[in-house]
Amino acid sequence: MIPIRRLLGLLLLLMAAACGKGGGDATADDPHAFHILAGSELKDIEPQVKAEAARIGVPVRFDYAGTLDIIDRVNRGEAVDAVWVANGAYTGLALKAKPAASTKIMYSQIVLGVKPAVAAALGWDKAPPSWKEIAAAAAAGKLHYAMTNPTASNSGLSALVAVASSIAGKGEGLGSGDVDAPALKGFLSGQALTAGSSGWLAEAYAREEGRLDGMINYESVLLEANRSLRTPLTLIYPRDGAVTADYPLLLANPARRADYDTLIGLLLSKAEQGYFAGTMRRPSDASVPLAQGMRADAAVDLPFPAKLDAVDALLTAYLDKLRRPVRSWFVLDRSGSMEGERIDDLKAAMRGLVEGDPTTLAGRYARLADREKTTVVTFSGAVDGPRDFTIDKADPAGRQALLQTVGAIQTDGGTAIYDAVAQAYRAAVAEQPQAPDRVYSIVLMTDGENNVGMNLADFERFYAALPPQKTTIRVFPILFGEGDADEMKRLADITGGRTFDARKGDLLSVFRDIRGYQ
Amino acid sequence: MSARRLLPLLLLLLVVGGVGFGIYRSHGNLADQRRSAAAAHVLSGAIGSEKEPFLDDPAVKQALAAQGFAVHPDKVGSREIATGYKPGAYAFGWPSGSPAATKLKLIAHAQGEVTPFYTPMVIATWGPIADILAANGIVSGKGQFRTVDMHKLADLMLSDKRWKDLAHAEAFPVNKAVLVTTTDVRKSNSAAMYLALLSYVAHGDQVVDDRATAQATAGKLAPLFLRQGFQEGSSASPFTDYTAMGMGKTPLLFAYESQIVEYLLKPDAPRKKDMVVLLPSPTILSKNVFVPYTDDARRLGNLLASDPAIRAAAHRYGYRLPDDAGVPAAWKQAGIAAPDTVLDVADPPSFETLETMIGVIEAKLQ
Repeated sequence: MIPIRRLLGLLLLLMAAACGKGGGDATADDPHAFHILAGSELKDIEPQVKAEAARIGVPVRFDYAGTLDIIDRVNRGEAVDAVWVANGAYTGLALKAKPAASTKIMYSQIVLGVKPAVAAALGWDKAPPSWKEIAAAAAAGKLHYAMTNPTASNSGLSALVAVASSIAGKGEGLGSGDVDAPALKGFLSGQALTAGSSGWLAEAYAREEGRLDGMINYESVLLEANRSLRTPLTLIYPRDGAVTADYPLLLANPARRADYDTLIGLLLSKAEQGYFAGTMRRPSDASVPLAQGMRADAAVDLPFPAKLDAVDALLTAYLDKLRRPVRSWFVLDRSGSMEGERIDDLKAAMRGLVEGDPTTLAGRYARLADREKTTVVTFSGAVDGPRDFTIDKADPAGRQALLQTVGAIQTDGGTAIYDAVAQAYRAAVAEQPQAPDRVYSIVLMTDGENNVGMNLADFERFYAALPPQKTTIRVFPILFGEGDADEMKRLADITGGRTFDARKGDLLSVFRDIRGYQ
Repeated sequence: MSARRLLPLLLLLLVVGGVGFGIYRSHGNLADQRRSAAAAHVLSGAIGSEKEPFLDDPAVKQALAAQGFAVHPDKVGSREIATGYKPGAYAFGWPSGSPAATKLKLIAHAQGEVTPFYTPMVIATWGPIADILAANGIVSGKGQFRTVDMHKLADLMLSDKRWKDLAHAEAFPVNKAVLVTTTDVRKSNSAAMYLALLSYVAHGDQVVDDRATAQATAGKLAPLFLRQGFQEGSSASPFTDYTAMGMGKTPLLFAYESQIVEYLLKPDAPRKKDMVVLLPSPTILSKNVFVPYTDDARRLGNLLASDPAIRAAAHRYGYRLPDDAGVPAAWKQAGIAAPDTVLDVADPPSFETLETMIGVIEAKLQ
């Protein structure tokens, strides 16, 4: 049964891919299509929902963003018909206008998957631990796990809320005074893989499972991942419970009420609820049977905080105090083709990252954070000397110097992409053993094709010659201008990174997306 | 421009306009529009959200249409129905609690209000949870409908007890705090009913009726709201959590009896056998008082209270009617063992007192 359904899903995906990114299909251009701004966690169900909605005469159009970005956009007044997110609680707290209607479609809890040997070594195969005990195991170096960045993705946020509640000894709503720094820092010291989205995290885990002990993710994502992992993970439902994603569809545009009601009728029908059950989520219609292999009972629910400031306090502490600090290189193209609007956009985007923006969630949580070290490497036909900056809350000098450096970039000359990336990579590899607690990454921003120095093949040889333990630094290339998308993708793939597309959107929001992966 | 040149343009406009109108119409609910067009009296009203499915029920619509009525309800929180009253905006208000209705009647100078139906507030739970509470002397009775001592339950919750701290908690030995899940008291009537009930219990079985007592009592009760964590804005959402995710997500839920009875009346409703309904002692009634502003609306109110088909529909939605002799036969036939009469009932405080208490909790939630 399952292989056929998966095959069909794959076929649909391929068809969707063949239609091109974000559309090319009939509904993309239909101004009457019901426009849903959805969390990226919902990408897997789009083909099915789209096809069925079109069949019943309510064509839908999906756009994706992270939860925080969705909230910012709706609060800014962006016209969408509905919002569909994983976490109704956070959205309910942060949305300024109460949605006209809200209906929960399905559920999935955020739990831990660990390799069977790790579960046995920690005794978790016999009795489930609390989140506090999970944190202690991570602090003791016994658990190296993958988890998304809580400021960018709901699964990471939910896990952080769960751990903070558990450490505070609370099976109830967390307050803003409940951030126990040392214990949470210990938990986060075990985070060996981060990402801005739950789906990408699962893919990266599959590539790197050898060096990791487990992954925190949606129950549904873990169970799906287990179908292809070499070492399937044992699901741990912590003793003190789990935060639950409830996937509400929120009506933002009351004028589309009738279409919303029709869609809800579809999504709550036995057939669609059965489809959602097949994605390893828990249907909101409990008469629909769970997928095979799922635990009958959900874990005890750990409540989400009642107040936005409690979440805010937790996320701010995460960034500035608790997380493994970021060590990043920004490799920036200042070749002649960048002149004019492009270099201005780049400078503005960098400024946005340094300065942040307290009025939006993304601006608050995607800024450069305290303790962070950043190096700017500019290049044209040659690579300019690297400049290091340290972000320090108490001392604005580092931020100011970084702003000055970015502001003074002049465009000129050719494009030596791989010389520049290799220089940054060498510097990162040299520094990593001295400060192994930091999270290393390289961001590459170029608008053109390489025409000076090393080419991609040279870089691949350089990379292949490095000892394996020195190849863990991800490169995140930004697709921009006339940059070679295939080469950028190859560069991302070999280094375990991913590309970000700024050819249509604005550069600052792309930089902010990348922050989720750093 | 000559008439000859204008004509094609006009035709084009007509065609485009016609198509546009057609698209517009096809996006609305044609059946509704036809019915409205046929009705002599189309009345719009502000209603508590949980009554929307009832008013949307085909049997109710048909019974109303037979008497020449069609209703366009707007879902508005019960508090806002009263505080947001604007003369002429609606023909009636239909809040879900009597404090808001009494206030609305005063503001709107309305006369001829009726209560077509009401429902007692209950705590929806699960067999193992009810048994733990029974073992701790808090719940009594057997079967699907039992009684919970509200004084003892409030004391237990206010003493910060966790499920694992209770005696005989083997079936639910978790660190979760013993709390009743409610909606957001700022936005939803059912949570306001919870606050009204708790304030009565905390004030020695007396209705709180002065500002100072209201502030002190709400201050004492606030943790029972704050400690829940995030609370939903309307009563349908936590009920979905209760039915879909079971005991781990929602061990205790403050709900309308009508919600659970409507659910239990469905022949194929899942988890039905594990569900237990605790009738608080004392409890409080959610009275759905219909407040008419116009003569037409007065007639509509009387129709809602007297039409046999509408009354039967109200029973199907789990409501009790003021002149019911006992629980409806249909409930009994479906094996629903709800008590025939609910006698141990607290009176709600005035709208102003309830507002004062909500204000205290609101300040702590910000």
